[in-house]
Amino acid sequence: MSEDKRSTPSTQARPTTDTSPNHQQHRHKRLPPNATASLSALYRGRLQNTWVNGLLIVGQIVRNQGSLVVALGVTVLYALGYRAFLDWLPDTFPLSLLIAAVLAFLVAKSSVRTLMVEPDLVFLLPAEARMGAYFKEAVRYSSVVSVVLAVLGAAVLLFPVYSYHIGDLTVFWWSLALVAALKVWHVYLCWLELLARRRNYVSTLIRFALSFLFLFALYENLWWPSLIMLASLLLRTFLLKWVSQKSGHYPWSRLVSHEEATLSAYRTWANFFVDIPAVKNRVRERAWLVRLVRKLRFDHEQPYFFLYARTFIRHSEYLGIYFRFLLFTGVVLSFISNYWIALAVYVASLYLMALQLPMIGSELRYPDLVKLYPVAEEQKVRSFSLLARCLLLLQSVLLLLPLLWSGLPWLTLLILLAIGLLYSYILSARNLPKRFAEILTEK
Amino acid sequence: MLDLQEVTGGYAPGQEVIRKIAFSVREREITGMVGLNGAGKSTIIKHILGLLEPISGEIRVQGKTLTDDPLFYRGQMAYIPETPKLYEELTLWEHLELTAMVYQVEKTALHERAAQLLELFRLTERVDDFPTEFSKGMQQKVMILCALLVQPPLLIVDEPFVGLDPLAIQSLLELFEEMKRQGTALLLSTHILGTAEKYCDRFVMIHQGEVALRGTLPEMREQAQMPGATLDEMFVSVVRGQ
Repeated sequence: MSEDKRSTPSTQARPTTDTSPNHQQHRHKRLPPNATASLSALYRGRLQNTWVNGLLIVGQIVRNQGSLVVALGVTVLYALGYRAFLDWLPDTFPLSLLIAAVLAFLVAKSSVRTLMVEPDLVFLLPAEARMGAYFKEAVRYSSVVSVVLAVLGAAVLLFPVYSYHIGDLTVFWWSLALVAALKVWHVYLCWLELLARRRNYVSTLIRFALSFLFLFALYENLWWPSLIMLASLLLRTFLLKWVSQKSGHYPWSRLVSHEEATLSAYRTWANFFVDIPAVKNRVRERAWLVRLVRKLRFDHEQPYFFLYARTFIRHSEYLGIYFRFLLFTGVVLSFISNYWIALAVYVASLYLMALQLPMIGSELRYPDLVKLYPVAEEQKVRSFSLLARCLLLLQSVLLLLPLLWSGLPWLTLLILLAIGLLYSYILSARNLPKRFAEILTEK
Repeated sequence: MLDLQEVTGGYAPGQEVIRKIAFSVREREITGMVGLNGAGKSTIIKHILGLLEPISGEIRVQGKTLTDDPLFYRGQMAYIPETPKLYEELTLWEHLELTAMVYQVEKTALHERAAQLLELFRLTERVDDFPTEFSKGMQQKVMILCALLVQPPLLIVDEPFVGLDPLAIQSLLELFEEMKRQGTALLLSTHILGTAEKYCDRFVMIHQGEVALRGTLPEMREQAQMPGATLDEMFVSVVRGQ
């Protein structure tokens, strides 16, 4: 789609909202009063449908007993880890550095839900001049939701440290207000990045770095540096606005693929709990990892391992979720020095991961062709079991690394490893195949 | 090779889309299935593939039904769908590898056949790319490559010429002829009556979920009582209810 080069007749009215890439050149042109109303209504209608669909999925997740166990497990892991962290936290620890990093991460990770779909490239394109109203709704909605989520996240992450370690909640409340204000700014910046065709990791990193330095300077009462960082963020905003106005047109295809990627990420998370049809996801080549899998021989007995392993590695989210969970558990484990608690967390993390793995092989995400293959169903189960075993064994080994810092004796660590490997084997050879076979026969 | 005996079926009980469908597809023959949009051609194909179960009647491949021996039944056929259906996370070469694993094609045979087919369809340079990012026509070529790689006893093709460039259509037709010579039975569902008339040995004309005419061209002329008529003329006559 060559949307970037597409031109619209210069006689057409331009949006007067600041969501337009070039509103300044055209703001003198007035639109009829109801010209933009229908597009705002279109966004609100789509939003309503999205919420209804989302709530239906949430309902399914809540009804799934496994997801309750995972939610409970993650909460317990979080509480245990946090408690251990607070016990460990020395007075000399540079807490403002950590708090600034956490808050900067929360505000920098922003996105705009445009709710655009592929047919819009055909049906809404002619209305480009009036799309400002639609996108204004999108930015407004995204800001509200992002602020709520970021403030909630900041509260959950920082309340214990302020309440039990620092003992003064005034800065905590001010921090939440600051997060809210910065979040609105970041959502707007995110929108400008989309318009300026600059939405990538580097842009997010720049926003993170500037916000982190600003917050850190502020917590350290370094007024001038914090003002300089704020000014840099402002400068970045003007720069992006200028670049976005140069093109004068919306990057339609990018907006659609951005929305698809966001939806795919949500759906993949949900897919770990309930079986829902997959949406188009961004595929990442990850050649270095696939090269490892290629080392396995061409095997007529394991065609599904070939498919499942590649899906797991190349799907935009599966691998990310796996490693994020490992990181989360790893951080929790690194603060635990009690053998029994470490054992409980270590084993529980294997169980929690195993509980979610069967969804990788869900047939809803593959084309119908997979149903036509002359391959016995048992092979699907065997292939899935093999993949699950590889992932759980890897988890058992990797999660031992943070425990090296915990001060537990070597013999204890070796016993833990042996328990982890054995439990991974039992889960992948006995429990998981049964669960996976049940999912296949439910179809 | 393939026998449909009085097959009645549809997507839900009580909602029959096809009624009492009976025809055969023989080895070393191309059978053309023609009909209007919505006539029931795709539903018939879904029943043959086993994606839908007949309400009544039987479908046999080499004398066996899907229930008799699912692995044998599925192993006898390859299918090229009307719209490409590809794995998002697999490259073109990995599609070929997966197909070879699934249909028990040996690695050496995979390399030999794939090299020929890739050359023929001008895709050699794209083997490491993800086909979901190809144009629709090229995606369709990937589907064709995967099906032809298997060299199945029965090939089922749904609207094979949609989205293909003229050169690819010609190559595909030549390949179908070659497969036919080597003993493959082909079932071709198509709208392009001129090409069907030229390349197919037999026909099944589907109208409103039923077989209107079937057999070789002379046999159909006799059934329609239209001596000397072309396939096109018989088709129009059937559709208009004359």
